[in-house]
Parts: sequence; structure tokens; C-alpha cells
Amino acid sequence: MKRVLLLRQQFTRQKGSTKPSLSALFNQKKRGTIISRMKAHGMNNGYEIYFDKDYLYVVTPEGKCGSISLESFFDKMTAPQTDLSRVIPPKGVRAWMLGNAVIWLYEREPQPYNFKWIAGDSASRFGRGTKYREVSITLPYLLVFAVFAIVPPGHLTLTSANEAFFRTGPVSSPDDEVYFPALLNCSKFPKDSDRPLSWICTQYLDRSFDREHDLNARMRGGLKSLLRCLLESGFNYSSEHHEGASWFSESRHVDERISTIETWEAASKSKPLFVLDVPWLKSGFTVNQVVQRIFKNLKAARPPIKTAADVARIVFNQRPATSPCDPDLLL
Amino acid sequence: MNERNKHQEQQSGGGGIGSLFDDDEEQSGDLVTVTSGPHVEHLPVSDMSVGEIRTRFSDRFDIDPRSVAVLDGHDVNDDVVVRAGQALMFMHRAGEKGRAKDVKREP
Repeated sequence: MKRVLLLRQQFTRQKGSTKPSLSALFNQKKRGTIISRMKAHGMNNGYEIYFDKDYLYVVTPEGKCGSISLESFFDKMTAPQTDLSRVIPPKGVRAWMLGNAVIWLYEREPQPYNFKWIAGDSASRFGRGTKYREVSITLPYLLVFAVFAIVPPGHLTLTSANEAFFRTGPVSSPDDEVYFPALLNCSKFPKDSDRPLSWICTQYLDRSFDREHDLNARMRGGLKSLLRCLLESGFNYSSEHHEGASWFSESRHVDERISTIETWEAASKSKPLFVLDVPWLKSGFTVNQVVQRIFKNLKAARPPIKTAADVARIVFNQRPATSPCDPDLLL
Repeated sequence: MNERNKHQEQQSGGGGIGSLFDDDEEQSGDLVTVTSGPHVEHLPVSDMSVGEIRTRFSDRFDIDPRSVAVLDGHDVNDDVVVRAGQALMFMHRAGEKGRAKDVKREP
């Protein structure tokens, strides 16, 4: 506050005004004088913030100035970073939003599938030359965490950090545990890394949904494309090659009935819902813990506002950017 | 953590009051599970052919006319009649995952 008074006194002496506003003090014309006097008075090296009327002013250690209306400032502090008011998730999808990220949890009931699966006599384990065959197997409850985030310049779209899990019952609580999915191309990463726990390989995801200008269409298209990639494209051993293991390979020992794709087919044929009795590999994570882990890995949370420098970041990150020491643009 | 949770929102897509507790509902044995992409519904379409279902629900389920029909895990043509309790899925079985050997893969 002393600083504000000092600035006002300086300005008053110069202009003869009785009570100038800070916007006037920060006027481009006077900037050089004010900043040089600030430095001359032994200004510290930190950021400084001032309030005057309904505006907040920031001065950087270099003397760069900016301002923002208090209304805009508090809007930025409290408003969600993404407006999902015109987005309707597909039926049954649960959604979480934090900062610049959105997670859709898609759940599908136990069903028989007809997959394109690498053939036992395939010469290649993945890529060119890989031979596939159709396999009919039942899956238990399938959970897909479709992860959306804002990419420059402010475009919310599906990321490549999507994950899949199994369960033997429907999700009815955030504390429900999820199991690793015994599927090829669902890659295993160490739990203590910042990688997904069960990454869906989406290297060749059809990203035509990115051309959608409508956010609702883009998000729904992203989920559709992700499911198509997971369930309708060929399963092979690329995870074993690139990441070390898939959850199919890791799960083989948990139950004789899923130890090979052939035994899985046979068990599905004789008792389709046997998949609800299989002791799938426990992930040790609940639905909520998976969601929080994804948000953490994405650094989705809005950075905390603790210092004047944090306030300055908000002021200077406005679009359109404020001109240095030209708060009148906002008045 | 509390601060973070405060800014976190959860929404749920759903089909209105009647489906709020779908998880607890007994599924009727007269229905057929129809799936296409993210759309899954239990519908009273038993005794209809796959082709009739494809036509009738093409818009609502965004069913591609070129998609393959999979009934209880096996490919079927449009003439097959669907029975109660069966699961019908429309899908495109195409492409493969992770086909390039030298392309960098990053989650």
C-alpha cells in the first residue's frame, strides 16, 4: 500500500492531480519515469501487485507492467478451464474434469466378442507379415478410461494416455477396484512410473475426430475411435516388443481357462460368463485412484496461486495479452 | 488434496430417472443386447433379422452399413434372425495395433 501511495504522490507532484488512478500511473507515456523512479527507490527483485478501484496491477522485476479487472481475475481463478456445457457423454459414461483434462469412464457389460487375434503360426509377432485369425471370446466388464486434454491452442481432444481394465461386476462406487485386462496391446508399465497402468496402444488411432469443430462431436468421435482401435483392430505382440509385456501375457497364469487364446475360446463356448469367476490380476487401484493418477500424470490440476509471480502469470497470460503498462486497453 | 477435489467435477451421462440405478435392475430375458461403437442397449428386437435391426437403428446407433454383424461372438449375415438373450454387435474388423517396428510409441 505504501508503494501505491508513493506512486500517487509522485504522480501528483508531476501532474498536480489530487487522486490519480493507477491506470493513469501505468499509462504508457509515464511508464519510463515511474519505473525508473521505482528502481531508484531501491525496489526489490520480486513481483509486485497493486489494487486500484476494480483493477489489479502487476509489475515484474524487469519493470514490465500489466493489469486485469478484478472480475476477469476471479473468473479465471474459479472458472473451469474447459466449458463442457454443450457436451453430452454417451449413455452410461461417467465423466471427471480437473483443470485442463477430462476423463470419460466407459463401461461395457460382459459380452462375447469376435476379435482379430494374432494366429499361432504367424511368422511375425506384429507389423508387416503378421497373420491373424478370428477368435470368439467373452470378456467380463470392460472399463475404458478415455483421457481428453487441452492441446495448444486450447483444443480439447483425446490424448494417447488411455487405459483399459476389467471388472467382475459393474462399477457402482469410486472405491471399486479395477483389474488388469488380459488383452494383448494393453501395455504394462511400472506402477511407480508416471506412465499409464494399462496403456491402450493407440499408435495408429484414426484421429479424424480432431477435424470436428464441435466439442461434443469431437469428444464422442474420440471415444468411438478409441473403442474401435481397442476392440476392432488386430491384437498382436507389439506391447511385448515395445513395452516389455501386455496384460494378456502377464495374466496367463491366473486361470487355466485364459492361459491361451484357444482355452479362452473353449471356455467361452461352454460357459460364456466364466469370465466373472476368473481371478483377474488385481491392480491395487480403485476407479477413483486411477482417475486421480491420470490427472496427476497429466499435471491437470490448475497450478496453485501462492505468490505474486503466480498472479503475474495469470495477468500476462490473458488473451489477448495485455500490452505492457497499457491497462487502458482493459478499461 | 481437498483443494484439488473442490475444483474437480463429476458428471454422468444417463438416460433419465428410469436408468439411474440400471446396475440394480434385472435384465429382461426378452431383450437383445445391441452394440455399435460406444452405444449399447438392451432392446426388444427378438425375432427380427439382423438386417431389420441394422436398418431400424442405423441412426440411433450410428451403424455403418458396411459394418460386420457379430451375433454371440460369430459373424452372421443380415438374414439371420436374432433371439432373446443374444448379443448383437456391429463392428469394423480392420487394421491392427502397433504395427510399426521403429516408430516411437509414447503414451
